[in-house]
Amino acid sequence: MKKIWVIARKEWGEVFRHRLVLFSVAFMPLIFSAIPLVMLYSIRGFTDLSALSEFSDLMGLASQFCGDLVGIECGQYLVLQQFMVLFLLLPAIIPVTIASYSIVGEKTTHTLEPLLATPITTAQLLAGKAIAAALPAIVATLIAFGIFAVGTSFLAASPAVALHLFSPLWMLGIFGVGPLLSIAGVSMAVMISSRVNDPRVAEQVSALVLLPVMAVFMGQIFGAVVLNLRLMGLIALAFIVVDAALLFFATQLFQRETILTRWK
Amino acid sequence: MSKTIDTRRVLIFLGFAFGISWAVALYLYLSGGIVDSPQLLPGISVATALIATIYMWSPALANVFTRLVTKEGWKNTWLPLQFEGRGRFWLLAWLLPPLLTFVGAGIYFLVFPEHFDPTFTFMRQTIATYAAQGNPLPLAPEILVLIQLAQAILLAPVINSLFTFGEEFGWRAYLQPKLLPLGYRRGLLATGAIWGLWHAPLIAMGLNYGFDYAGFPWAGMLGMIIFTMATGVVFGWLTIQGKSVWPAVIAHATINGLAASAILFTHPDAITNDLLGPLPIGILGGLPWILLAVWLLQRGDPRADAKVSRETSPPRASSPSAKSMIFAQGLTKSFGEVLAVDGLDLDIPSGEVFGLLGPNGAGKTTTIRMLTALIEPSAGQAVVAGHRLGDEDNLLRKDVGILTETPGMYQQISAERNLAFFAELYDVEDISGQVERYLRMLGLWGRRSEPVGTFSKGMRQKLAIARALLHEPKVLFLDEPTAGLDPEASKIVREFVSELRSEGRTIVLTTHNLDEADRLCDRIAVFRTSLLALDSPTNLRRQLYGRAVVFHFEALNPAFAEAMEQKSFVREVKTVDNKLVVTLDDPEKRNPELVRELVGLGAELQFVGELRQSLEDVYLQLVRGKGAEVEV
Repeated sequence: MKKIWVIARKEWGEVFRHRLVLFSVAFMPLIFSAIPLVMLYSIRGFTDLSALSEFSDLMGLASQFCGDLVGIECGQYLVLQQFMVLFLLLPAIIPVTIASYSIVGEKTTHTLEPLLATPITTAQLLAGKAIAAALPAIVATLIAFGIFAVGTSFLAASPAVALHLFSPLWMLGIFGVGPLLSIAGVSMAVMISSRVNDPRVAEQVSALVLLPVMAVFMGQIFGAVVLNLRLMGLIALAFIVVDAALLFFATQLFQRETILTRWK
Repeated sequence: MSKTIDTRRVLIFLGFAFGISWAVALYLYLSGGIVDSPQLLPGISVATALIATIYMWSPALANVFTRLVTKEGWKNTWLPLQFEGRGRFWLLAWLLPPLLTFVGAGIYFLVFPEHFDPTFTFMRQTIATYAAQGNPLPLAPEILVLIQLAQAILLAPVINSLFTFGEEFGWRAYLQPKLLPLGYRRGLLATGAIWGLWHAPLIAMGLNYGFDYAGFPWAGMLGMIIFTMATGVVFGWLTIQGKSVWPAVIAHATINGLAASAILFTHPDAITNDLLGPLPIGILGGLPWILLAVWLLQRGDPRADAKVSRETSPPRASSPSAKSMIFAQGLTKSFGEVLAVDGLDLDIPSGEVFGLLGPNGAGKTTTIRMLTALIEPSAGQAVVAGHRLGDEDNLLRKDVGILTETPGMYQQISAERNLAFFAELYDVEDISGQVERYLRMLGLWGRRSEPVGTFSKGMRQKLAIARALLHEPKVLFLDEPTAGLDPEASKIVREFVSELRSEGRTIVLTTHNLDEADRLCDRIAVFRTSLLALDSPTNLRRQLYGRAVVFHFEALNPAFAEAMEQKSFVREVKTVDNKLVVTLDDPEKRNPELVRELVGLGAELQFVGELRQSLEDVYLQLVRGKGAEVEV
């Protein structure tokens, strides 16, 4: 475990020396905590729902998601719920670029050979790289989520909105599925990084990793996917298995010899 | 590989594998057998669930339990994927089962043409049944058959792998290597036979062959054992060639997915005998598998080539001496068809500075990478700093330091942080003390806080040397330490290596700078894929050129050369301008006689000295295979 942290700390020392990278990690979560709060603030006094009468079908459909929330409470809940999906996805989106550079970057700077010459196992190396990429994104997202939660508690039409929003379903999503998604994303990116010989290829291919995750997000927005506690629990369980499998395959696909002898 | 079977572990493994699975079978028998097994979920009986999970996974569980019980550890699990250079075996694992299954079905239908149904009656009847239940299928039978086959070939291998892994991780990844000491053929066949026998209770409960055949259940059990012996040979060969159990998992999953496909082409009214076919578990349906297995067995052990080349090598010292810091025997590395290092033997004692010389592409860096456990040798063995290569790689890495061909430091972080990072990875106890010591020793302490990106090439090289020394390694490998440095930086690095030499460190050095090698190395290996020569620089010169004395004259008389050639101990006489170059053994003893002879002939000798051939001459002669002109 110690060596995993040594790798992670070195990565942070190197990557976050660039303020812009630090900014990029913090920026997205903060902006996604600010936007819903601004929206909430701007519609906080909005109570006349008659304008929405022509969308009665839509409102009827929405009521099944809102439970006992009515009127503006339901409207606020539906708007804020979309951002909850973003908080779930951010830990997977933010670290992909850093992770995709992790191995191929070592190769291009000729540091990989001395690194592999040390008594470190492939699993330790890859875990260190993955943690270095995932942890800042998870922490930044959770801080931003904390800001969002506090802001929502103050600005929502009633405490019921916050109670409904921060239900076990979304707590499991944000604190459970989000980090697991992040590990899956960075594991894939690190795996790709160890299989290509150009950082640009690594970044391009790693971006594709996010497509299935984005599909869930789009599905939620368009109502094709309805998340409930059971489905979220199943997703969490599935990602535990997926993460374990990805970490295993990442170590298996990391071919020291090929990387050292065939990459030029 | 050991020559005897580990009987204890084999028996424990078989106890677990058969114990778990046959206990499940007993439960199924007592609860009504497979055919009448109660439904667990709609469409899934208790028997189906138990066979697909616990029964099929019992060999894998037996592998794990046996390793735990016997404290065998987790080496040689055959789990690593080993894709590199072995992709064809993965492809074969996927493509062979469909090919063999279809050919087998074809053979069966050739023998029993009346059973062949090109109109897909079976599928039509299935469609009609669905329609009668109010679930019409909107596709033609031909399309549905195609979909079924595509699914069997493309999707089934993935899904079925979940279950076949349970079998293969036991049979091919554990039992087979344990039985191979019996011999390649016997080992593979025995594994297949045991695997077949393991199916016996299921066959007795009607799985695969049903109940309605002559000789029930013994003929069915025999049929299954023949099938598993044939497929076992193929799966075993895939495992050995793929160096991983996964190709066998895929092949097994593919055949499980496809096995029933022949039913789609069989007329429902045909009275078939499953012991014959058309499925591959029948003798006719499985004939291509049997023929392939026989062919593979006839070809013999695919590992034999490597063994033969090792066994026909000249006899070597079998073990390192007490003084050996590096001992290599038959060290070989090939990349595909390219042989990079061929049968290298080395014995480097503690405290020696050893030079590895050779042209570009000679295999010097590959040798260093093998000896530092960065890459795996294709053949041969080595012990470095007391650790056997391949068995104790992480311990070995702890005891060696390496200066790689390109220094490779993290440009964005400081020199001090760079070294501290590597010191932590090497488990150095006094990290700050060691970092300071080497930064001061190499004159970099004053710039310790600056990012390495601001350093000159020479400074980076010095920092990389410091990195290689931080953990006080027993052996230091320096791969071209002065390459690309200016003369001043080169001199500093050379002086530092001299200092390390005086400390009694064992150093292996590769360089193209022959003067550097001459000055620093106790012994030199001239190397181009294989060893061309190995000795001290002085001895190499003597071996190739002998020792030569140069006589300078006021005026050279041909009689002088003739007189020298008359001497029995003189090996060669050359005339260059007013000089005679006389090659002889033991000049200290013979020179007075030669001088007396020349003076007696009236020679006016101006000067007498020994001619020293440069190491470059020696090197070029060895590498090019011809003598270099002597500069006098």
